[in-house]
Amino acid sequence: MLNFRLSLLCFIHVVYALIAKFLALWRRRHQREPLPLDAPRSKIPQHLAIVFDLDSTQPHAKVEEESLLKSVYNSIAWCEAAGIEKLTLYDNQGALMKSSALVRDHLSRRHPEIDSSESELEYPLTPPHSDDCDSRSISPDVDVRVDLHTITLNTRLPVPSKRRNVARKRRVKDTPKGPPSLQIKIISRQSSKGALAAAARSMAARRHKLQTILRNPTPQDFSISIEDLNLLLEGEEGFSSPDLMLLHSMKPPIAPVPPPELLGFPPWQIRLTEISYFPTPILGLGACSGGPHALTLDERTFRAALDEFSGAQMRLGK
Amino acid sequence: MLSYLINDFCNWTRKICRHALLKVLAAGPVPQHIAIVMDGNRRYARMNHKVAQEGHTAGYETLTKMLEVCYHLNIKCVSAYAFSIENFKRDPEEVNALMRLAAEKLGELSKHGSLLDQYGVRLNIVGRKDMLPEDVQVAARKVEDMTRHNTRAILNLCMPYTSRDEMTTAVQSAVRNALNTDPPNLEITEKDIDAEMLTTLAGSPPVDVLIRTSGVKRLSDFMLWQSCEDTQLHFTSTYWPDFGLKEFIPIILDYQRKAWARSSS
Repeated sequence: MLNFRLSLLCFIHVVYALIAKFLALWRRRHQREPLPLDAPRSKIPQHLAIVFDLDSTQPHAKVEEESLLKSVYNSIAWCEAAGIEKLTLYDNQGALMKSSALVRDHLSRRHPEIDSSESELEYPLTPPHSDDCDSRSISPDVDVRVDLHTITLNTRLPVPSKRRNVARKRRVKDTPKGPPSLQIKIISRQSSKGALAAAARSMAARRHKLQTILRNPTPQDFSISIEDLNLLLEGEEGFSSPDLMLLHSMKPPIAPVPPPELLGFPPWQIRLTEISYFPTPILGLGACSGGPHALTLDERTFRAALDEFSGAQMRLGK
Repeated sequence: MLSYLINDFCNWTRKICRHALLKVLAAGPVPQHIAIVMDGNRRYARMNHKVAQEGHTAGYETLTKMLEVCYHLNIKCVSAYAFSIENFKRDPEEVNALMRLAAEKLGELSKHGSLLDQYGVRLNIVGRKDMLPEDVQVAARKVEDMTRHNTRAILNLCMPYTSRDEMTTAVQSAVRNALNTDPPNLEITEKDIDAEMLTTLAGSPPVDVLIRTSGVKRLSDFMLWQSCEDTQLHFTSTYWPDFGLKEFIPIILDYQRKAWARSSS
């Protein structure tokens, strides 16, 4: 009886796969051309996160790395063209962390007008895992700093200081429009649930020290608020919640396209993030050929994500 | 008379087909835990020229219907986002109506012969129960106590709930536990925090599938910790009261494809 049911189930799957393929083709034929990058939209995300789904079983790792970097370099250019201020990059294999030096070099080449001493090109930004640093927190229990394992690459001009003002004016004068302002953060799995565990460890160590010195209060008195934790994770040393997240699979496309997964992206920062994922590869027919270029994030998908975001409604529980 | 007979026959046939289909689907792997954001009740009501409360009542009926489907598919656990802490910002009249509905339905669920009783479902109210009105808290306690020993399936009704609140409480508890050990073990790990999540405390397995209805593509502070790894996310444009097998079957099929692909690799 079970075998009969399993055979029937397999038949349902075959029919489902055929319908999905047909729908994918139909959608591709009927998809609208997304608006240009710099087109006026009702809203654009200030902070965009791109999540790359890398294939751990990929035999041609070199091709995948090239496609990943190409996607990143293109994304930087598209973000600047669209006026996005922050770009967070994440992948499920930690490949971007390893390639961060290449991204930095790319940025230096892209913006030679900003020299590294003035561009706040920070590499890497890893605050010390310590419990006796400066306080920026509300409660003494969260008077700690947490290593969130992020790398920040800034193409933003530093805030002018009186001493260096003259030099900057001269430098900016040479570039007619001034360099675009984009903050790029590369994050990894360690910035995810591990960051909450790191925050808990730092707070526990701090509390233990307080208890040892003061012999009071008790562990049960320890309490933290959402705001406290938010300050640790999204504050100066952390990274803020993206407005939009674009999930992009680097794996060869298949139909039916599997549903999206967040692949270990930091849970704290996705409370109200709009999630964009395109079940049909937005590229033309080439996207289904499985060639190396099919893995690269393309501009139409990027623009389609911006279009989708501009149409999204925020009700915030109301 | 004849039309009634034809109608009855059609309903009977539909029921048999539905049951057979669920049996076939249950022959493959099924998700252990499904989390649902039941969104779109009010928009459904507006679309059908009804008041908001009628939308919520229709949403509750859909939940009952889907729980039955999940039960027949041998899905172990369902978590439903019934009320967010943020929802207290809504019009007080609507909040009061929702709380009355909650007290009434929890009262019904605590009766013998109810769906939970019939199917051996343990009900957990997940969230800041202290924020609920007294009568809802009493009804919640009653139904939780009554179903505590049920082991067939779990229903987590998340109300009033937000994931950030849950994560904060879990971090707080993990720190307290670490300090309470002798000598204090300050090496808190992800596992220690996970063990303090409300869903884990309620005996729920990891979330395999998260469904959000009404075309919104956000998690809106629901199960962020539980869904940020390999949970399949499904955003469907259907309003929750209209959600049915048509939307649910592809979700199960997608999960099965993943489970088969994983077992073959």
